[in-house]
Amino acid sequence: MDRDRQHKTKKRKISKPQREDEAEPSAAPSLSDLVASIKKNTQTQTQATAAAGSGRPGGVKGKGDGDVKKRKKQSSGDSDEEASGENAGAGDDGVDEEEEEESKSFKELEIIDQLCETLETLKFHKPTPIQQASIPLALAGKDLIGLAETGSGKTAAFALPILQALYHSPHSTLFACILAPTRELAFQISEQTEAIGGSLGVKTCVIVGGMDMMPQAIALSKRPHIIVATPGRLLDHLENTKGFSLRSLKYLVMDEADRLLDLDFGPIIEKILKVLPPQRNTYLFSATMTDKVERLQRMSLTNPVRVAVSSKYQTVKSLLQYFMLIPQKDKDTYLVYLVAEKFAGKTMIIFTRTIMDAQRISVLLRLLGCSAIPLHGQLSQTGRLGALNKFKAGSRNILVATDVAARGLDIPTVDYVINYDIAGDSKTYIHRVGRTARAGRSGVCVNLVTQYDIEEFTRIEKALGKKLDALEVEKGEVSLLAESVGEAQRQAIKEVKEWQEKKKEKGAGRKMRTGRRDNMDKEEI
Amino acid sequence: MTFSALLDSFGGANKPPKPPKSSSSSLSYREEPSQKRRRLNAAVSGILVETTNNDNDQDRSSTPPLSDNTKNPIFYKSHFNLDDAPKSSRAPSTIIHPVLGKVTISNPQLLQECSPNGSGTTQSDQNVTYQSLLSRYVRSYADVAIANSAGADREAFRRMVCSHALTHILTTRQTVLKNSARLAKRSSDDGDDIKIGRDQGFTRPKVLFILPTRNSCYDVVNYMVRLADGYDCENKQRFNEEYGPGTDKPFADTKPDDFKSFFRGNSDDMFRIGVKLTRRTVKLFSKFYHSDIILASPLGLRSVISSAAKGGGDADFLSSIEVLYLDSADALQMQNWDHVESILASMNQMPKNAHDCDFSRVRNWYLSGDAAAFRQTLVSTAFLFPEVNSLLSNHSKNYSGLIKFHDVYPGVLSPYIPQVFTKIQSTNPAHDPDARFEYFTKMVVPFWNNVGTLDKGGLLVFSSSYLDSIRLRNYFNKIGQSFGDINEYTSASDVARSRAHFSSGRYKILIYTERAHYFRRYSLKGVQNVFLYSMPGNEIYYQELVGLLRESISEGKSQLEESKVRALFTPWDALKVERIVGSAGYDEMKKDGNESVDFEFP
Repeated sequence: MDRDRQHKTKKRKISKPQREDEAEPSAAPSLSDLVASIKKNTQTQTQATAAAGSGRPGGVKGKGDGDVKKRKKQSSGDSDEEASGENAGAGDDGVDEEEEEESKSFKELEIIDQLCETLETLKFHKPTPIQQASIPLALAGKDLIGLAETGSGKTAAFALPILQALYHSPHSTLFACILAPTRELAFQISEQTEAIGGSLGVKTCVIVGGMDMMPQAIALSKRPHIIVATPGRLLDHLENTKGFSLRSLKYLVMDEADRLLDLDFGPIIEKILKVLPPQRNTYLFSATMTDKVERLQRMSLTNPVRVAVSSKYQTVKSLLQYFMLIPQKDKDTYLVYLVAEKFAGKTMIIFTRTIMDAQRISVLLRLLGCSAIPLHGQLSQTGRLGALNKFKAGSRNILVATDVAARGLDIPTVDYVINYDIAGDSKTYIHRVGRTARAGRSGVCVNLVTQYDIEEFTRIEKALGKKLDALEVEKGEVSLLAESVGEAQRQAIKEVKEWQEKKKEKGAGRKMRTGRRDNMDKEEI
Repeated sequence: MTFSALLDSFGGANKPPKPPKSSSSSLSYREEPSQKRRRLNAAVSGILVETTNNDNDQDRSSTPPLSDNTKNPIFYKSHFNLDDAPKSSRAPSTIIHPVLGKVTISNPQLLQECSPNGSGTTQSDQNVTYQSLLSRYVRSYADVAIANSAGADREAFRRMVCSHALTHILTTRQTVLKNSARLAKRSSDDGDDIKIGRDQGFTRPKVLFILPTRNSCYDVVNYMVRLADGYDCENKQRFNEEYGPGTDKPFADTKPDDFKSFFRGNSDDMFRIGVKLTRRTVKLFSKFYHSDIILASPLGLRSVISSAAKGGGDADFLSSIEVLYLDSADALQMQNWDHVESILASMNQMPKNAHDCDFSRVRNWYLSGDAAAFRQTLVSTAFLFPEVNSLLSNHSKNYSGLIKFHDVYPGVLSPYIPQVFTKIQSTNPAHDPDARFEYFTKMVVPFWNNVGTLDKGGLLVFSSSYLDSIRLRNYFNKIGQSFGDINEYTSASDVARSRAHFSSGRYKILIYTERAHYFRRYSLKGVQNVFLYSMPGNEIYYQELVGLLRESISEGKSQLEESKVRALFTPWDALKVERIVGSAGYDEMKKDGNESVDFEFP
């Protein structure tokens, strides 16, 4: 725990000082610990968030390497911002970092001119953060662990170093192998790689299931430079296609490793790894760090450097984001006002920070005649799926969720996202609002900001790079609801307590919300 | 000028002392076996040398037995060791070559390379024989088609192909074995083995012989076994039983020689056999995928391939054929040309299954699907016909080009029997039968009625097509004319009856098809007039038909003045007519314009 905490705080290091200066000292350790103990059961949720933020609890080794790197950087006299830019791990200091990144071009990342030209024609003018962070390390010959989402430009992040290496040893064939979890992704990667490497005349070959073996065997025997494959079919060829081996392989990329492992490719990848030459560079990309991914990492990488970048700058244009500055005590009332009056009848997701709140608010809303359903980590898997299905099918139009719902789950179009509790960090925030305004549709996100949340909220605003508008409401209308809400609150607390006892949980009922916002990070440590 | 004549004038008659280099290539086939045997032994010892001490990569030229015969490996290398097929210029031109006679060449380079003055041969002109040049073309992996009416010359060509095929297999195998040994050594040393020679195709079979009869297969295999001296022959007993001549009774003396030589022995046209060359043995009846040579009749091979279409078998064993030999294309045409076409169409396709193929050693041009451009197609035929020409132009994709040897025809017209050839205009080969039939009903039959030919009897109506003969049969039925009908499907008793009635004069007309004549060669009695509804493809048949007429005249059954040969032809029959009237005569005939024209001979 201590070790982990250290790493976590290291990540926070840059922002910590100013926080301690400005932020209210309300985040009392005792309270945080209390909350942490309650949240123990929401491991998945918090882990996910943590991973998105930067490192995550498990990756001690990798993290350590990353930090070593960072420390070196810092000691070598670079500014703090630059260091974080290189390592790109520090979740919340994005703005400075971004400014720093803006000034770098592909050329400055020591990408050769041929590739730069192609990138220019492909309209890739600036490296994305993940490219910015990983390319120099990759060019230096390091193994990489990349924590990045799809769409963050990571194909180019691994393709560029490989292509550049290929440029310097033009006669090598079967040079790199990229493993992807799905056939579609494999084709996509192949297309992108060929587009970027077009000027070098790079030949790629897609080896996926569901196609004839024979043409693939022929394609392989033409010795392409880069193979993009799904693991199953690649192993099939390694075992059954005579004369095909990957003994000359120099680069292995495992893209979306978490998904690869989710799809039970683990044993297959192990077999593939056995026949690959040990002298190779390996890049592992994953959206999240799970135990399985970590195992894979230990199995396949040597002295890897961790590169983590959040895609925090991306919110969709069609998303309207508002905040409401409200007193803490009236939080429920305002929420009910939004749900039952202002946005009545629309599909929406309300995000809370704790399971207790999720449970309580769903009961509260139900008591007030809204069809709300909770979704959080203390539900069984079937319960979760049931809740989700009811919401998807439209029999419930309000989902009250902890951050478990903010990622990974495929939730259909949602009109509104209400952050009952402010997101713990910008990454989580992006994931939450990403539930709405999907696929080109518009969406609205409303943040309920209490007097205690202001500091946190401004940090999110800073990360987003813009100021949100205040959502105007008629205070009179809200106060009309106060009485009925107060009554329902009491009833809801009672019900939640009963539910808790039934669950034989030792939680102490309704929590004070103050100070909780920091606990999230604390717990991740 | 025939092949033999050429051979005599250049090779046989004034046989000069040959320099050693050309002696191996100038293929006078009587002495050839021993020479070939020597060469094959050399190649074999070469293999053994290579496999045992394979570390000397460059020692090929220093192995003495091979050095006197380096030509083939050189040709082999220059033909096959390319990554991509170069584009061949495809502008066929026909020329008269001083040595080769009339040839059609698709790639002008071919002529230069092998011309007497070219860089390829160093001898002076008179030492370069037709045979040696032909052999040179064959061994340079160019496509070669020879049309030659002399059976002995085709036999010589066949032998030339046999030895070429064997040499090709041994050379390829030598390379493969050498590389395998080198690979084995590498992998045992555990060094990096990225540089592997690409030396093979998808599947093992390299040579395909399409032969008309079991007997021809028997001849070819025996010849190759004889060439492969020092090899044991497995399954020879079984081969003799299934392909050998057996105890067939000899043909009647009346049958012509070409018929006897073709149908002698086992004339079954449904067979296929794989031949595999191992280190010390020639194994007959090996499985196709383990064979080096496949010998088959069109029907026998087609039955394997077409069951592939239904999902049963497959044609993958044809994917890596590098030398294809079509023997006696004229006979194959008489069997079923469709089979030949379909076999050619399924040659050198991408295989559907891997068949345990080592892809790292498959040549690049196989992988890129250019195999057809490297395949050598060799065709021998007694005469050229439109189907074989179309086959060559569609399926001969060899980048080295195609050389087609034409025969020069003196003509087989009878000097004293009146022969009238009528040219019918037909703009489209598809409309040809209709134009012919129309002319026949509107012009010929009324003329016959006027002159009384039909009443006189003894009219032999010959058709080269079975379908035309059916049309004629229906027509005669319609006009109520008594006639006999002999075609390839007629039963023996019907044939006997028709012949008897025709010769007795009870049947005034006898319809006779070319294919019936090809398979039976009946000597028909009582012929007083010959009408060629369409020309026979083989000019010998024309001679024979006219001979029937001549016979009845000499027997006094018919008068010379009243007997006549009349023939219809269209511009599409050009090749057939040329063979009958002679190359020079036909040049005159083809000039005339749009009208129907009669040409009278003599």
